[in-house]
Amino acid sequence: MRISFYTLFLISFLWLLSSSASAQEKYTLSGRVVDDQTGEALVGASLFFQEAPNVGAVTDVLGNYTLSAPAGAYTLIVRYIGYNELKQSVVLKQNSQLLLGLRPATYDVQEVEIVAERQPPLTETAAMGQLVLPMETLKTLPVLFGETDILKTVQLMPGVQSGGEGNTGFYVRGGGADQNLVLLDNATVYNPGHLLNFFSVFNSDAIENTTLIKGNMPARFGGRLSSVLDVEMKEGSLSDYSAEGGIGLIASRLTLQGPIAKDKASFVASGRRTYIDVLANPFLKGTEQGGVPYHFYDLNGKLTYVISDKDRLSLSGYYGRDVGQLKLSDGRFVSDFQWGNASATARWSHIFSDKLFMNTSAVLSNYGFQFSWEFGGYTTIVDTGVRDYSLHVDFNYLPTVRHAIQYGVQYTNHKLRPRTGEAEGVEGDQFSTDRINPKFAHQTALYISDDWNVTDRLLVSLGLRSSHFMQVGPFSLYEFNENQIATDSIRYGSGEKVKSFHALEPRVSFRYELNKEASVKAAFTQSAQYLHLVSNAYTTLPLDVWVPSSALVQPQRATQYALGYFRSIDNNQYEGSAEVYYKDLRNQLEYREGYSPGPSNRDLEYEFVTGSGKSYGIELFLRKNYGNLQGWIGYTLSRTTRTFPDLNEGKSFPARFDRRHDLSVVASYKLNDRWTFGGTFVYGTGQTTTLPVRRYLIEGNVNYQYGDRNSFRMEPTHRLDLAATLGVAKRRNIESSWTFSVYNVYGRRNPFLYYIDNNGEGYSQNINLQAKKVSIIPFPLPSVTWNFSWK
Amino acid sequence: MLLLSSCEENLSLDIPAGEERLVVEGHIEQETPPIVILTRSVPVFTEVSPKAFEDAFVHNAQVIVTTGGQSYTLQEVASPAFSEELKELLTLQFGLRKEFFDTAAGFPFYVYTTEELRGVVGQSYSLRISHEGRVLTSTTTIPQLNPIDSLWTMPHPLPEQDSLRILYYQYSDPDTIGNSVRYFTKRNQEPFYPGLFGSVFNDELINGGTISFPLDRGEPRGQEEVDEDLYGYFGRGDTVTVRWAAIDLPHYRFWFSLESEQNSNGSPIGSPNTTRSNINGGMGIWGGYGVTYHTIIIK
Repeated sequence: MRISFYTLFLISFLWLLSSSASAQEKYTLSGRVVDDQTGEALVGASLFFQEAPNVGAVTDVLGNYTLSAPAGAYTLIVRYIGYNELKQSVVLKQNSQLLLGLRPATYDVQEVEIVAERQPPLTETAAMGQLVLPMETLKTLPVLFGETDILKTVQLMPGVQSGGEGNTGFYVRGGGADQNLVLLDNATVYNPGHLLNFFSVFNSDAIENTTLIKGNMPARFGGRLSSVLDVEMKEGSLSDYSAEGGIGLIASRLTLQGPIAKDKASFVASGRRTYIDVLANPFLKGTEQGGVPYHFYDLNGKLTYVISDKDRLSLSGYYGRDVGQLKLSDGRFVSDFQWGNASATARWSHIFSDKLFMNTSAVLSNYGFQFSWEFGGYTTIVDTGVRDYSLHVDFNYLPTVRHAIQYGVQYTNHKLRPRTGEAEGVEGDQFSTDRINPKFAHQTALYISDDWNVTDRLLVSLGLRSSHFMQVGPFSLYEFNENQIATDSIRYGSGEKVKSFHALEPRVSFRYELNKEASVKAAFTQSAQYLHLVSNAYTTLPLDVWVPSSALVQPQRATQYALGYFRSIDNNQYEGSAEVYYKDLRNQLEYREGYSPGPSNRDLEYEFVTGSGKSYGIELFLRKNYGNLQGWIGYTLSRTTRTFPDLNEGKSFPARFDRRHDLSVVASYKLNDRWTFGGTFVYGTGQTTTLPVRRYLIEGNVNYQYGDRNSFRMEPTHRLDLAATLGVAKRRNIESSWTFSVYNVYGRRNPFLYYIDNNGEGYSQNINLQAKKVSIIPFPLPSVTWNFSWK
Repeated sequence: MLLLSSCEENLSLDIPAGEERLVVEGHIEQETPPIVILTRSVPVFTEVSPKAFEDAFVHNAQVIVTTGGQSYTLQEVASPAFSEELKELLTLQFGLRKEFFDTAAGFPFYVYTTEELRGVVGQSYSLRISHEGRVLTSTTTIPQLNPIDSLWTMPHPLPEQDSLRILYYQYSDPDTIGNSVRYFTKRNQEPFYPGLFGSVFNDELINGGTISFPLDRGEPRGQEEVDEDLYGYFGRGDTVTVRWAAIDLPHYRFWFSLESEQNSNGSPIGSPNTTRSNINGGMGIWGGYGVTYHTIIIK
């Protein structure tokens, strides 16, 4: 008996030994993080073991997480913006699943976390240049007209340049405005701007969270060279009804959500509309202007249906429009314009096992711009737009604790409507741009990636994307002579292949952990872009045209190298990073020299010239994650050039958004339970521009000879914005807050453009030439917004 | 728009001098001699003075126009020696006021021209200029005449403005693509002015068709402000003459891009662009006009 006791003891001991030897054999803890009151999935929540802070995870779009660690007892910490931190003991001795519910942090508007931590700590993922922006972060920052805008916060990140004063356009690491993939629930948003980009189409109340990826994009993203801005709409609560909204100076918002069937199905509906037109009209009646005939609105909605623990369905949609009218006061010319995006996403998520997840989505995306006018007995309509039908099937597969594999297939059917015009006279005579017709294309991509924990310190992420693009008929390929007369044409039938392109896009990155608090990361990314938008105005315009790669235009290509050092300080109180990047761009597009927009019966592609681009820089980032004072400082030193054989006599020139220095300081301070203050300061080297260097006279009027392209720099831009948020005590289930903000506190007149004005008749000596600076919002602009929530 | 509450302020900019280029402003029209004004571009903020104007003229260039295998050398002429016809043509074709050719203008005006050659409809004319090692070349045509069918007027949209009329024209485009036109209007004793915001048309979209459309009254360029209420209109009792000039495509592109640049200069949603010249090795225009005149007395 004793022997057998010892034998048992020995065997147990050996077993323990072996299991501790295989302690390097890890177990997986997986599951979902939800709001414990509503059951709503929390996207982007961070989890880690207190005892092993380098074991961390972030929940995906369904709230799913997976953590792997050696067997043992741990304290699991779960954090999510606007929720109380959850600490839970976990004993890991086999692969197991755990549903985690977080309790909203009293949910007062004024009590939100100010600036969210970047989750998980920067040092831990292989991803570089990736930032999550939870909505609550943004709400205490000062904004133009009190309208919280995710795109304006995106601009405050290092490596991201804004498109100009008040403008939501953004340029990432020297890439063009068309090189950002903007997704709203997987649907491509082709024009994310309202009102010439002063506002984005994203109603902050309808948005759950936003991720920006600056170029080292995972293999599952493609089709754009510079960045991915992945915006997820909110899901409705499965248990309680609630409402939230706000009333601002120029717009109001309202969001309603709640269960359709408790714990089974939910809805959320959100709307926003500007009312400059309504408010201003009474005051402007009878004046020359007769009102401000312009408004925009956004509608968002999402239905969620929880079929089972393993299946979940959602249907979401967006519809937004800018609508306006322009006319001459005497009525000779009357025009109406409207533009906007519409999208719908149906998503089915299925869990096959604790190792295999699937997301399938069917997506419709539509962008359209229409401008119609009546003049001289003719009604003319100008139209442009994009329509996509897509299907995505994406898998997450976790075969062993050391591998996280993603793979999938994506297909999009594109219809691109170039800028077409049609005029009809009162006598029924018609003229149209009959040679400009919609273009059709199929875009397909297969991808696979593996996040491979080679050792506890080394994480390698290997990805490959194989993308294919095929332009198909109906299409007529014209050949034009010098006089733009079509000399020949080839006709392709419906569905017939016109031209196809293929690209293998490797995405490789690795992270090496130097110690618990510091890591080094490197990445290599190649990407291809098949849709293009070329703009030659100071800002992208809603009538700019998306064109596909085709018999006329090659795909854009990019290669990016990045290297970074990441540091977490004082238990992630502070985190900082320094990244360098080098980006090589090919097949970049610009309008040819001397192009002026005008009526034409040729595809716009004939007006393009092709060249290459280069961008390199260093980005420094320091963020304070916790405490009453939070915020970050981002600084970018960079250089971006373009080289086109047919522009600037073939000499390299700085890109329009080349900015040597770009600094953003963002801070918020919670004084007490009632008051929170926020501020942002930005500084940027002056934008490049092309100015006349010499003049000459034609018909006695001044004409300009321009200097080298973008050889001139406007004065630097800088601006301080401040905000104060006052929470109001809760009354009958209604919580509310007032946000007072001042945009451009010290009234800096930042240049929007420079030009040289001239008037007078040349030879008569009364000619005047004067350089002018045009500034937009050159004065402190105060605003106040009242936000409320009811539940 | 309230939101676009922008402001403008004057700046003083330090602009590099840039590289001097030669500028051609030359025309030939049926039955008239070729005329070329040859100047050099000057730094954009060069002071405006008679001396500066005088200095901009390029002298002693060799200017040769070739047509039908025959070459003609244009002679440099200074304004004191201008014939009445030449003054008329400079007014008509170059939009210049006769005062500029007076001694009172304070500086002599120079052009290159020849009495040996007169333009012929349908002919093509090459231009070759050489000056101090620089060679500029260009070609233009005097296209076939392309007259408008008729002119008439319509009332102002507001009944109370019954003294103002809108001028309409009907034009039938020949069935060949590439026809382009530049127009000028003359009201009573005023000079001809080209259309202010757009003086050129092209048949790319209306090829072979017939259109009826308003024709805005031409106005002097370089006005500090355009009177919006009167823009485009003619008045009752006006005698209106339309100078309707057929031009070739490169000539059309020059004016189209020049006007587009002037219209968008300083506009936040404008697109800066450069004027498309048809002069190889220089800037400006060598353009033929095939002109017809049409008159209407507005009752």
